[in-house]
Amino acid sequence: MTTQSLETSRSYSQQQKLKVFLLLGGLALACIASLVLALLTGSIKVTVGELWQLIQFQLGLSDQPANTLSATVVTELRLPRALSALVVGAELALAGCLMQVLLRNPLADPYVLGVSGGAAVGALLSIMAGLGSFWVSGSAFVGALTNLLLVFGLSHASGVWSPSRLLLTGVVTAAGWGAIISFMLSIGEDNQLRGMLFWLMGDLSRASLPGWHGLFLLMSLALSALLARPLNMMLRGELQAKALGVAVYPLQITLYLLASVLTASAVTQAGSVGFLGLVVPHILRLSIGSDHRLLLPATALAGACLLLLADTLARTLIAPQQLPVGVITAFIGVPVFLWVLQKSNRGTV
Amino acid sequence: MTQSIEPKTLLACQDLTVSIGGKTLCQNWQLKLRPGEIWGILGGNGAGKTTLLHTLAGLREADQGEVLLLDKPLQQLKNRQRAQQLGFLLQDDSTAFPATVLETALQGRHPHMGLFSWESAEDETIAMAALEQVGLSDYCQRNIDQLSGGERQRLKIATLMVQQPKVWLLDEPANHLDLHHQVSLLEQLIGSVKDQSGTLLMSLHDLNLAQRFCDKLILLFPTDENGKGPEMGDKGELLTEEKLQRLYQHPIRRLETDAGPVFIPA
Repeated sequence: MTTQSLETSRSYSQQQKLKVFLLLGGLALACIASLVLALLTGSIKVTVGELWQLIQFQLGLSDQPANTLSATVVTELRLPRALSALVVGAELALAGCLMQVLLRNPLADPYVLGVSGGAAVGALLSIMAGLGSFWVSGSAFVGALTNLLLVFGLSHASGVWSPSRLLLTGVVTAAGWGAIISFMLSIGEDNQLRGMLFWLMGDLSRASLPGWHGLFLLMSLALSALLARPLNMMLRGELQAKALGVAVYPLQITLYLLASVLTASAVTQAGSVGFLGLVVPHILRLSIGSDHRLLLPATALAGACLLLLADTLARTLIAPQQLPVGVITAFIGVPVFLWVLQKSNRGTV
Repeated sequence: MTQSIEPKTLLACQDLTVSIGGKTLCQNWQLKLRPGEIWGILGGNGAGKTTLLHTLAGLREADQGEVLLLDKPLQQLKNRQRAQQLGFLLQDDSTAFPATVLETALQGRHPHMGLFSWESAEDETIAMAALEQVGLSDYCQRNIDQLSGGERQRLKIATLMVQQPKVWLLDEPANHLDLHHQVSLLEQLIGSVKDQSGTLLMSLHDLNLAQRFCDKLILLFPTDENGKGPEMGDKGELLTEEKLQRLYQHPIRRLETDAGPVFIPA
């Protein structure tokens, strides 16, 4: 009995480590591949050779400068946008995954508590006032933070806090933002409507180098490594987690703040890209299970990769016209999700 | 088995007052659980068994007084420190998110593991041994939502065994279990509690299980205006027809058989 159970357990442990290594390694490679693809693709052709030359030149390995036009297109247009796509995709998928645990609902997404609604009202106000993209991003961020504080305050107001209270408060607040957005769209000028709609669907064409957003993503990933095992406990219920030694309330507050600020950071860069934050964590839960030590980094990598691929399609599919990337994420996400759901043998979720 | 220096009291209440929804469950209550003692809580529906257990486990705050775990007030302990010594079997569980049987049992190791460490081969051996004890070792890789109610209850008991606490608080451990598992699992649980000089307190609905397994009992009578409420003591003094009838508001017969006393509702 003992020897046999030992063998089973060893193979389980090895299985887990192999899974981590293969999955995260594979996803990281997929991210790099989609980055290369994004840099090469577009109306101005860049060859692999030119890209390689450019990389060598930038790294100081070669003093032979690349073709100037290609170099400009890659470093000033495609690279900032591609890096933004990676950061936004990772942030949204990670936020969705955290939100699902916080609300104990596998159908939660990063926008369910109204962060994107608040951001949208801020962004649309700036667009209507004819302000530039710096102001649009800035006011989107302010709108997202306003929502964060509003929902947090309201859900605590009666002194009794619970995730279901938070969910109800957030959903109703989001509906309120939705009404304001509809009102703004209906009084908006025709020449501003296109920009407003693109923002609402999610669009990376205004994105610049991710800068502090990227830094924040890395910090969030580090923090989520700390939270991963307590999150596993939370899946079996709050009381069970508490009985097993998790400080539940501080963890919930951390989750709320982290998921909200990640979402705020994502919508500030790209508008409300839909679907990614719901579908990516879900697909991964169905295919690799719910161990957050593996799930959180895998979700971030998969979200990054998916959004970059979607954005590359969005700007090339009917070039020179660009599509909002949110449309493409849904086009890719829906069939992939349904396919995974059909194949899944992990029971009903 | 027994260490040379054992605390005399594993879990204690000092002047504990617990109330819920305007109803007082106990007032200025003293309780001491000593190594090797097996306690039962009896009471009708809504008598407050779960509320009292949650208070003793630190999952809920007491109105007054304090609960001491190994002579330290629960409130001064971190959740993790508490969970290293005190394990709790909840009535409900959740299968909203997928997880395998082995993953779930391994969660019992959480309070004993460092922040970044992964389950070691030793942790897995402990989990496998517990699953073996509850008869679930063939189901390791099965998803928990494919288990029956009784199997899920056995998995919860296994998770608690994996936690290896000193103080075991169980809220209706016999729920969903068939007769065989009620007896064999409680026997195993109590065996390991006594081996480790631990103590166990469980709420039960079955008087015959209480008679069979408990040394001491708490009868959760409603608190009257004089502040007189729950009674506690040796099971011999408390398991009488008169007291049980008053507790359940229903006549109960105590029959003496070769296998010891048996209780049936009249």
